[in-house]
Amino acid sequence: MDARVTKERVIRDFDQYVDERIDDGVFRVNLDMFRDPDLFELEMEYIWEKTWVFVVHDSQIPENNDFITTQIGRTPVILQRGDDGQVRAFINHCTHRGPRLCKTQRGNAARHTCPYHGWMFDSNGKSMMVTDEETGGYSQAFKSMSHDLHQVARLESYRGFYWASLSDEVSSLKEYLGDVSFFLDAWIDQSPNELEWVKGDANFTYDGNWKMVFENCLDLYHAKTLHASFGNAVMNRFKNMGEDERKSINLDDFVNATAEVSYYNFDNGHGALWIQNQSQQEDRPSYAMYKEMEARVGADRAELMLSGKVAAIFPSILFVESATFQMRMIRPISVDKTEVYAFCLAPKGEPDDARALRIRQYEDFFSTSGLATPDDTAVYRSAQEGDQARTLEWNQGYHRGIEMIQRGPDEKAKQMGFSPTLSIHGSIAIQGEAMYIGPYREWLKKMKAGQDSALSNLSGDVHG
Amino acid sequence: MDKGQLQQEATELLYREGLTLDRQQWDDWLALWTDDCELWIPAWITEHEQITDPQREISLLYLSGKNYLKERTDRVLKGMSPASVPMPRTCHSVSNILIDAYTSDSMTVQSVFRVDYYHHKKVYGFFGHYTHQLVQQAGGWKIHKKQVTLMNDFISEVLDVYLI
Repeated sequence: MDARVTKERVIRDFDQYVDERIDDGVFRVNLDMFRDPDLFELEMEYIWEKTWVFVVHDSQIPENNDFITTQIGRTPVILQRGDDGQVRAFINHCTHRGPRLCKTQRGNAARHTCPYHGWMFDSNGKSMMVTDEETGGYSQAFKSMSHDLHQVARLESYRGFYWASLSDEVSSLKEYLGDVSFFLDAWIDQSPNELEWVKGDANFTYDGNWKMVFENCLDLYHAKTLHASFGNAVMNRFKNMGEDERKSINLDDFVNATAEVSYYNFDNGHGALWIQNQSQQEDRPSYAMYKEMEARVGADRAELMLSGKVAAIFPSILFVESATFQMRMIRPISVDKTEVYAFCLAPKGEPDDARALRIRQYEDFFSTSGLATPDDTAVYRSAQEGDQARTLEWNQGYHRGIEMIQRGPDEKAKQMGFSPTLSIHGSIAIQGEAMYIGPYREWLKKMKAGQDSALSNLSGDVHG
Repeated sequence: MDKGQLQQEATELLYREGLTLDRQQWDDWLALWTDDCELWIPAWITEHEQITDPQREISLLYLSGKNYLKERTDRVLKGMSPASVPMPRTCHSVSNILIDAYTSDSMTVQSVFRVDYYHHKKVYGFFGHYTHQLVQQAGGWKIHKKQVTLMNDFISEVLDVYLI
């Protein structure tokens, strides 16, 4: 809930932003979704501050008292492992006068002392000291207040991946993830010892709306045009330097389409895609552990583990495996500014040469110094500029594959035993875009529910 | 060779590197490097700690071999990458040049840099420290290794060889 005192509410008809008429072959979202600053503030309040937002992976804060700082919507947050080993989420705000207690992105601290007046808190968030309390002439009312750090309302982990919610009114994390967790398992189970964080920050910003990077990760249509220069570089590498040079994904898969693809929507706005029969699987870092994986989890699941795939967990985190695996944490800053925090997570126990290949593929494709991501960010900016055309209401970019949507699971999902709400399956040449339906349905649902709740709080105030 | 002479030659090479990048004279820039060169920008882990092993940890950039540098300049030349169309106008400044260690045919050179660039009607910049390892080859100095400690590592959309 937005704690601001203001009672002004402009009531919006959110149905106007999402035009979903699948049976008529139409799906589109209004350009205001990308350019209206007031709508951005409402998204923060009704979506980001009311649902599960990814905050940290276990391996990023392995030791007691390790912390990492992040943000949920507009709220600064500390994720800290206490001296009891338990991970907690606090609002990064001194209860006294408000400075952030942790000012660095990560660190280790048994206690936090506010630099302003010296109030002190332990790593479990408990108030240790109100400076000079005895001589302060404090009231009984003050003494009866808890001075502890404010805990974030909910924090739950799915197999080492932590999500937090500023609102208590959310389902369990397991329920929120639903069957998209099948994809998460495919990354986690690559090693019997699960995943570890590979150190090194390669974070970036772009001058565009946060939904652009969310859309982009489910978009195969742009691969052979926008990333042509990546494809060229990789091809020339073998020509100029020989077959042993740095391997990467084969963008030919997007041109000479022998590969197939399944796209999925899941409840709560999550999307996924899975590329099947991809060539050059042996060039993927996880191939080094393939035999072990296959013996442990069976051929079908091992095949999924090795495949190109994406899981976009609405609204905050993208699990993307194109060349190799990257997690992208989205931090919306304003309607036209977004921060992306990128993580490399790798199977524990991976052989050294496979790990080195993973790192090179990661930097090569994903890094903002790489050969692909800077082209993505350049077009986000460009689209943000183009979308300022105020006489225009709609783009046409959500129609590819719309005729191929089937309700419920495709054959692949049935075979693997998970239950998407919508599926598209076929040749990779579909390069579908219609699967943004799920995320935008959820957007609409959250915006309406958020507004209803805000209005009912408001009328409660008036009458109560 | 005395140290003053080395200082002068190192300075000239570092200035020339910046100038060839600013003028987009890619072949001239590539000619400054040995074939087995390395360009490395280690990523940060905390405020004052960087990664130390590019084979085990993430780098902001790790290019090993001149062909990987050429991959970058070819990409610019082809004009197929929106990140470099239009190319930003860049201005490399290099200063505080110190020779750390030297032999008759190699030296380690410390310096600081600032690259200002103009893109999308805005001024951006990168700054930090360079460590160059230079070697004598065919009668001249070449860059064998360039390590960049990039101070402002929250990257605005793109980081590439011509911006550092």
